[in-house]
Amino acid sequence: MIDPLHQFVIYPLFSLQIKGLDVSFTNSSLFMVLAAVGTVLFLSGGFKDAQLIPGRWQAMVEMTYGFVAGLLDETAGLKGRRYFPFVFTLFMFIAVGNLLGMLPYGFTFTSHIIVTFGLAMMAFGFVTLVGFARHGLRYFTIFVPQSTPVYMLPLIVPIEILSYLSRPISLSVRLFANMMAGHTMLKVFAAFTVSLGLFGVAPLAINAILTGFEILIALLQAYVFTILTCIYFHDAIHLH
Amino acid sequence: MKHEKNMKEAPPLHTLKLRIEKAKQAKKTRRIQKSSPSTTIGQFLNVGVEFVAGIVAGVAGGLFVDWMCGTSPWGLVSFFILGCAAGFLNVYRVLTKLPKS
Repeated sequence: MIDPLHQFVIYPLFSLQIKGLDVSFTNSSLFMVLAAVGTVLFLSGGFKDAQLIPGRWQAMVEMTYGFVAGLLDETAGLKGRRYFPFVFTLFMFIAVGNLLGMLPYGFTFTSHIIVTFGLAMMAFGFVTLVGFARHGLRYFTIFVPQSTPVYMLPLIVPIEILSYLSRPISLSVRLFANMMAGHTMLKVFAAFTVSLGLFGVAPLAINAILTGFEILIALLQAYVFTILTCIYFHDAIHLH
Repeated sequence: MKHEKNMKEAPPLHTLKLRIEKAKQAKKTRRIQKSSPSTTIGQFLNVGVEFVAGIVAGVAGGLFVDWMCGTSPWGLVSFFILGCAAGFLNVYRVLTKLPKS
């Protein structure tokens, strides 16, 4: 029987140890580098000879840019525009990483919770820093909803703090679980195709549909991650 | 030439900005009419994760408090309940703050 979880195995391509710390360049690292390089190639390639009336590639780049910019404007407001580079980088890295995972022999680095948790902690940490930079110590009032009676504060404030701290958990688990579940499902159906012989046509047809669906999920989860980051930016900028 | 003929028939250039604005406005209203109040992103948001995250944060906080103050198991019990409340709050927040489009 084929192991559907085998695709998530991380193995080192170049072993590297620094003071007993394993910093090997793994297949996961390789695909992260590919995602970063792919993003740069996609974006700069579209503008290599930019026209007033864009060609197909340039239109694709401009639409991606416009999509994320519109998302940020819509959710975080105009003051959120300063943080566009961060949000756009996050979106492109996740989206390209997810799509690279859809290629045969590809590896989906977003199917590992430590990667998504790292990304989520980066977004969470940056949003918190922005909040403190903009409001100073007044940022702590984010834990006190407007017009709360004083005698309710001992109950409300811990709940608000826990809700705030749970943001990176929900962000990371959502992306990780979606990618891992989807790719496992693809492999399970692929295994059915092999083991059923001639009748394997049925799971093969399902797999063809699922592959298209997975590409949708790959882009949607990048979108969801980005939109939630934008909502957190809105909270940090406007304090309620 | 066909191309030149089209150029002649096109409205003057100085109205271009006005026409672009008009087209943008039309597109915007069309989009608002098309979208239903029920969120399409909502299906892919997995709101349940939001709830679980609150509980996980609560349990982690509770274990941390117990470990720091040696109040086991009261920190875990109380923070678990607070975490559930935080989970409900998360779900409510995310669903109400989604853009309407």
